[in-house]
Amino acid sequence: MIDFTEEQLERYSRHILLDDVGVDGQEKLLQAKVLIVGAGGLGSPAALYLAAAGVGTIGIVDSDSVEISNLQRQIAHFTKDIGVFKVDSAAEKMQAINPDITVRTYKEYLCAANITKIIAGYDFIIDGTDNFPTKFLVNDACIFTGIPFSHGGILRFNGQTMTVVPGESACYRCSFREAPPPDAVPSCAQAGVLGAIAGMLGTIQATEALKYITGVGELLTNGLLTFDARTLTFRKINLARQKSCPVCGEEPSITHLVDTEQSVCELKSEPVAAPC
Amino acid sequence: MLRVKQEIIDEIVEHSRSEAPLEACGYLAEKDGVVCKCIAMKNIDASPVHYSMDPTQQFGAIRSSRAEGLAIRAVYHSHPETAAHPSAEDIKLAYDPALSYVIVSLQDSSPIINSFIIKNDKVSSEQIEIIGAEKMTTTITADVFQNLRGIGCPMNLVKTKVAFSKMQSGQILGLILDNGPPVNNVPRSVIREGHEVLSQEQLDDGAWSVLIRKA
Repeated sequence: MIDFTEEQLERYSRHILLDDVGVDGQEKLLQAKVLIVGAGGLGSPAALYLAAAGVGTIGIVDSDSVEISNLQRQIAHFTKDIGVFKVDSAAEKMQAINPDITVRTYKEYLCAANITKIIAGYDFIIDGTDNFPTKFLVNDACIFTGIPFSHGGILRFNGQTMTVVPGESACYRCSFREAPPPDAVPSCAQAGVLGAIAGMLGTIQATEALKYITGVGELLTNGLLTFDARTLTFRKINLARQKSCPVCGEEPSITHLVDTEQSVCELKSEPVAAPC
Repeated sequence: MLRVKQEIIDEIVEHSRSEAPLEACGYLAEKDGVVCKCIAMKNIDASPVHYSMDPTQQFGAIRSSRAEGLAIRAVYHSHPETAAHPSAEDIKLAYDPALSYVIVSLQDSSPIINSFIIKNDKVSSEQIEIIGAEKMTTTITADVFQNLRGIGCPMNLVKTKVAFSKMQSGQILGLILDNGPPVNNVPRSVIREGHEVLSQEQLDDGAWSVLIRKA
């Protein structure tokens, strides 16, 4: 059992006061390890809230540097950070909020070659990536390693998220078999995005991570939550695990990780989609 | 408040230890509001989990106390291997609401003595004041004690929850809470979480002594 310092008791008092979280829940948070993939629109609020919550170890993966066009929604980065690696910029803010935690930074593009090594040891993963190949890569790697994750995506005024517990609930591929062809779906850079919806979605993902760690409530599994900020309409679409799923089904056709055509590793040289 | 001379506390503990692993039992008699006599009785059940007094011996104890100008104030018995709280049977068999029921637990290396008032199957904890202790007057009622004087809301509740997290179910937490919002809020919150508030007693300085049994 952790002996909380006076400062920790005050810092985490609003968690400890919650019946369902309490002392035990806060201990679990301090011992937890969460990896955030992407330090952009979704990763920023998730990183700040998880740091504030006292998630003991937070990893954050992103190979990009802060650009001025990011600042409209990627709230971990400030104007002074333009040109700085996003993971360094985010880590600085996370540590400033909560020096109690450990932040691990990965200045890498997630790809088939490095993802298994990077995600190993984490309890939960937040997918805050901006492109389909990486979203599918995160899904597949999590299915193979059994690490639960929160999928999230935003575009224009819309957001969607689902939580996947491998082996128990529907995975991303159960519903979306494969990445759409390149340019079939526009990126944020092409279509635009209302900045604040990054916060709406990223904080839902952070909430799912906190719920998973503390065991509070029910996760957003077997369901896709979507919203349209213009009408502020939320919908929850029920999903089910598919026996025919190519990665978590009965006879999976995907048995190892591969980079699809438009992988994020290749985006490095020719950016098709700017980070959301 | 049960006021007991230190030497009587020592006698109760000694008697309990000498009978272990069987339960020990007896009467405590008082004069001028202070327990000054321990009347050890035979446990005719000779059991580690039950006790019964011999009616003849009971009658003799009451008569001799009266002759000495003493009044029976409490019944005591020991729990050789469990906590110093009334068992369901203890509550059922506590026939005299005018008496206090003192329980000595020997389960830990240092004995714990608690006093209870049991009326209509309802148990409330009673403070024990030890008179004439050589070191200082100690109140043995709570397993864990937290002085939360000067600590406002909600940190007093945070500290209460931290204390509970280190305790076992059934153990008693003693709190000192400031008058006003602290004593209005903390007991209410712990009740909501399923714990049992055994007693609330205002102290001379206005603060409150609160005893809570962990759920």
